[in-house]
Amino acid sequence: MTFLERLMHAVAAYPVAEARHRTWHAQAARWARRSWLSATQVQSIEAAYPLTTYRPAWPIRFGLFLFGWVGLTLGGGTFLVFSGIMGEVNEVGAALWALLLAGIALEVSIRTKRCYHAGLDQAFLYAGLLAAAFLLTRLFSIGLFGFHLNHLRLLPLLLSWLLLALAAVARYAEPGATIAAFLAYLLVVANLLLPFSWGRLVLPLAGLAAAGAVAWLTRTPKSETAATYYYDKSRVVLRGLALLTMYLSVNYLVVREGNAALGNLYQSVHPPLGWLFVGFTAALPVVYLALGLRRADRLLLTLGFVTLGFSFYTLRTYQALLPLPIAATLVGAALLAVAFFGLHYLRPERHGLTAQPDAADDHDEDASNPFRRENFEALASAQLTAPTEATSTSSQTEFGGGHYGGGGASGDY
Amino acid sequence: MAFAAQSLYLALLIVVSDTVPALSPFAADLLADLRARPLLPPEQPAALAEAERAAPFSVSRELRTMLYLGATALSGGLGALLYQHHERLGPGLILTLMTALLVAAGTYAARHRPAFTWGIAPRTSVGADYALLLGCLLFLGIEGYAQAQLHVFGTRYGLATLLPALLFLPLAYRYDHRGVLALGLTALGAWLGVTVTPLGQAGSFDFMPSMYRSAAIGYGAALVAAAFHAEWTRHKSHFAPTYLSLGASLAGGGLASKMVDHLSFDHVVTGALPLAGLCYGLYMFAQRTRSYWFLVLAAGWAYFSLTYCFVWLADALNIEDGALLLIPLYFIASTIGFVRFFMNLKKLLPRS
Repeated sequence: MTFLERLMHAVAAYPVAEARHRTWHAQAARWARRSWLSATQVQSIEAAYPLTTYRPAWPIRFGLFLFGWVGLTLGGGTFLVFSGIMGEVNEVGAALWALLLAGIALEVSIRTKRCYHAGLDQAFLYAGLLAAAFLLTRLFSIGLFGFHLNHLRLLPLLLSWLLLALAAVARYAEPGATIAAFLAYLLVVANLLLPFSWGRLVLPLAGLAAAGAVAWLTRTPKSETAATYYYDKSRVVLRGLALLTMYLSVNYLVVREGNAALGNLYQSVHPPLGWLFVGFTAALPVVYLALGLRRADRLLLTLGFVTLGFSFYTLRTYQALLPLPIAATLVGAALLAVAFFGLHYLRPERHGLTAQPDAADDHDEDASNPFRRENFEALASAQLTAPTEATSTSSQTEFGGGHYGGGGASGDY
Repeated sequence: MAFAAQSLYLALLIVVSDTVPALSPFAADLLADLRARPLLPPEQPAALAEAERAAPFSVSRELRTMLYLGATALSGGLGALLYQHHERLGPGLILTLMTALLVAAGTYAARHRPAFTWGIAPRTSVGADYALLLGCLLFLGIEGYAQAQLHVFGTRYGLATLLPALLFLPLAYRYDHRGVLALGLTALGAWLGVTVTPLGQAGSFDFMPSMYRSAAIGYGAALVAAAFHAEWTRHKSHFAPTYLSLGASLAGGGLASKMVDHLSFDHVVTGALPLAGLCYGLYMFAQRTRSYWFLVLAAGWAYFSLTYCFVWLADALNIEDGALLLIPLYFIASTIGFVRFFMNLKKLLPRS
């Protein structure tokens, strides 16, 4: 057994076979949508790998999260305030109460309600983590004003946060806890470097290396085990965050403005090794896009588009080559041209790519969801045009009336 | 230096690149397990693996996102250009360009228009959808400019805002386009808003004048009714979510802003009760379409209504000592109730 395997069996909060079965159900459903499997075959596969836990559709998870959170904070909070417990003990006591309540609610929701990342257990987990993180802050007696990353005395607190989040990830394999662990890791790296002047200098490259190490560790596993299924959600979240952090830590805008903020400069200047970061800002999106297309990696491809947009924003911030309306027009025209070319060029399959939609990606079980592409685009169009529509009719008419009315009068006379 | 840069680049490539196998490890694992079970015909796992390896990588969603962003950026950029540079360039050049683009986009969309049906029309071209959207956005830009600079509509501001609605709504039905429908509904809303309060701002419920608020509630209710009509009579039932999303946010927001104005029994009757009706409508819609999002929306507005009534009741009964116990009890009991409601949905929303 690998280390991951033993760790999972020792600490896992959820039934370990569940992750594997859920992944397989999803895979069978994808094949069914491509009509490679019949409905009865899917049913027999689902029966062969039964699910014992509760994980509803995402809107319900969202609702459960909100109501769980409201109940715990407003219900528990007002209880603490009104029952006088708050008056007798201090905020540490309140945090201990919150930790206890959240912990009990979390374990009960998993054991008796069979929740599996169902929103409710996630709300309790986050509440518990927040309370525990606050208690650790008090344990190391760090106040709000003592939170300076350029003092090494912050290190024990940050390490304890990292351990706390890692423990939560090991037990619950939950995306939010994974994000917290990654942020704590970045804070530890920053705290190790920022107290020193050489550290501030190498911070961007250290960020690149630190995030790169995570990206390397979280690449797709060669073979699957119970543990790789259990921790797969965390792995994908970590990989996305690591790839994004790699880009952001060497992005020219981030480095330049970060340098200015760290050095208390009134105006940001071209940082040391500036051209290196210009190169990274230009090259990384291209690398992401190219590799995403070559290796059919949706995560890299999406990050490639996002980082490309931010690279253009970076360029505009320091070298506005064109006024914004002209830039928007040209970018819009270029996007349309590339998309139309892509649609026609990839109409038949070429180089392993296709412009045809993949039936497997089309979840039509909830066609009315406003976040489905067609519905979402419609609502986004309404949102984009609504304010200008309402304001422009009034401002236009006023402006137009004054301006053109004068012109018309002079023409008449 | 060059060597350092090159090795850095190589290191980067190694770190970033992830050899995603053509057959995902999950799928391979599942197929290996299926081979040992009598669930599928013996040759099918191998055929599935082969089909999975041969399946091309679809970039359809990425291309469609580019089309959407491209159409929005192009029409927005051209519109802004028109306003900023009309004195230097004269209206002629940009207006001609925009009109030419409008004609081109319209022609392209018309040539690829789907056959009319009350259901979802099968797409003939992905590009045509976005060409139509671009055409409509360009039309808004041209029309706004024509009114501002050329005074085409004179002081008949109502006509200027109604015209896009009159154009877009039929287009949306003919071309089966939800984006154009939303643009038409927005234009219609602007027309109503302009008639009620000429300087009214859509979307801010905080200091909403009561006349505008009533218009928002009325228009929202009409949109909700349109959603129900579309869904229940099967006339473009896939337009219903767009109607309902816009209508519920308008009506709900209007009612909520009325309620928070001040606490009174009057507002319980004229605010919380209609809002509860809206929730029931959303619930019915969710039950019929099995759309969980509208169910969560219904629960959210219902919780707002319920809490309002609770606060009003606590205020009216003037309980002071009891509040210490009652308020935490209310929050805990009510959220437990809603959580139980969500967890028992299976019984409430039967899967067909």
